[in-house]
Amino acid sequence: MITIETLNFSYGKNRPLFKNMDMQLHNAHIYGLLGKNGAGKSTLLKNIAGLVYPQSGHISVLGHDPSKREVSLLQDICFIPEEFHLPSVKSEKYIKTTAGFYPNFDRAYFEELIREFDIPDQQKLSDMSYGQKKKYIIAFGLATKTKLVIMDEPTNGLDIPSKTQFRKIMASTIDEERCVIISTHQVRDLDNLIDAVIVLDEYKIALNASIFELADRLMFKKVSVLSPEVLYAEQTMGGYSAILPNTTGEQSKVDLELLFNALLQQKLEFANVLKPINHE
Amino acid sequence: MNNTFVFSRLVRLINRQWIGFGKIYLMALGIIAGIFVAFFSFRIYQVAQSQNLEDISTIFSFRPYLFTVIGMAFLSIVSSSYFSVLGQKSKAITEILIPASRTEKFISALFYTALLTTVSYVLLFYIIDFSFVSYVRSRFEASPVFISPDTDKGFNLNRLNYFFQIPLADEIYWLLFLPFLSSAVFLLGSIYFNNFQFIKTAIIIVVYGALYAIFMVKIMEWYTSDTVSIVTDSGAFFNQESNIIKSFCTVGILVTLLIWGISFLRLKEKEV
Repeated sequence: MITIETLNFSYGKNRPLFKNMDMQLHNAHIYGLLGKNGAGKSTLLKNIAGLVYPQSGHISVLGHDPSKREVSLLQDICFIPEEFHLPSVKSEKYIKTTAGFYPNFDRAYFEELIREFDIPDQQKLSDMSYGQKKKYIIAFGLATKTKLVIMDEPTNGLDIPSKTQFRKIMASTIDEERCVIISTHQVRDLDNLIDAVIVLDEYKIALNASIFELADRLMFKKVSVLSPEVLYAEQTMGGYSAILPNTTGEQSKVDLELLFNALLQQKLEFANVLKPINHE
Repeated sequence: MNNTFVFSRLVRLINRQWIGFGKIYLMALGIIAGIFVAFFSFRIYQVAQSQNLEDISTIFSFRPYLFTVIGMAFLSIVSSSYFSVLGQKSKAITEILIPASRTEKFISALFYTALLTTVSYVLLFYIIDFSFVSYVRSRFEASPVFISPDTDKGFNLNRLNYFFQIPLADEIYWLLFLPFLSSAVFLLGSIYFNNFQFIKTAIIIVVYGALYAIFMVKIMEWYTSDTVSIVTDSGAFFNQESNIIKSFCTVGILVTLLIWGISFLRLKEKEV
């Protein structure tokens, strides 16, 4: 669905973000895009959507060059930015004027999501709270039924029940034709939601692997004593949260935060462990 | 799938942009209507106070200046605000990613900044002028009926004309491209600059105007130094003055089209 080859991008001569980056993303997956502040998560999403242009390299999205901004591609991309604006109109008017641009827009599904998110539909969109606006734009985006859904920090501003609803809705939204990319720095929000993880670090993709593959390769568990085979550990109440090589074949729940910290702090060790499953 | 132009998509885009742009546009039009009404009312008040009906024929002599100055300002502000959303990250992403082609987005821009703005402005001025002139004619007998001794029929002697009935000098028709040139320049400014579009574009126009004037004066001084000025009977400096205006118009139209073309290209290159 998305192919990135030798992508180079910078915001200035002294501020490179991506150097010869390669990546492939496939449909029927929900990808979690992780990275430190300033690692380029939002910029990578913007490159994919054609909002910024790479200095060199090639990006292909659904067989199109996103920088050309062709209507046939734009109809299949839903981008939910971190900062957004909703006009001073009621939902009905917004749907009337905007939904027509998306040929697969599903009105019934949209109304179902609005009910699920408990959004007041008789209020002007601009008068809603930030969280309500966010839920509205997520509901609209998902109802467009586009093949590619890009979400930049979608859980920012959502309260705890809304985050739960969001996870539930996202889990039901994926199908064989769809690819969802969610960028966030709140790693916990992605728990039980994503089935693949991408980590950006030092101008490149440090990791692109499915949760299943990670669980197959690594063991995440609480230990009281650090044994020599522990790859990475963080002290917690009464012991350590640790990552070990999975030698037993037993599947454990992938701790994304622990994995993320491990990747950034012990790059070399993890490069060796994860290289065979790193699908750049 | 036609990626270049579909008429129904253009109509949908114009309709969609109205929800964001319409309110600002209507407010601007309302402010302008207020300015017009204030000017016309004040003059009527002045004449009514003075009771000098000799003033009737010139009561609205400010109209050409008011029409031109406010018109240019209105066109510039509307054009300057049109693509200003592209400088605001929160709005720009939605605008760029809305599934419409660059051609449709550009035609929509021309529809709002050149066509709708001009037509609505002229119409607004026409309605206000028509209302006030009709009122003045009825109240101050500015349009008395005379009986023609030849035909024995009555006719109106209008001492006060409607603005759009006043014949224009021929040269004015050759300058009708100016509003569109102004609109094009400010439209490009709204794409090119990310903030303070109107002020930055206005500064560039002032700087350009000043440089142009200096160069023209210097060139003319150099070209005509040590020569004798021959003024024709009609007082014209040039033998065919209208040719100069026609050339000016041709260059103006070409520059307008060129700036629209650059705007079209810049629209593609706009990044967020």
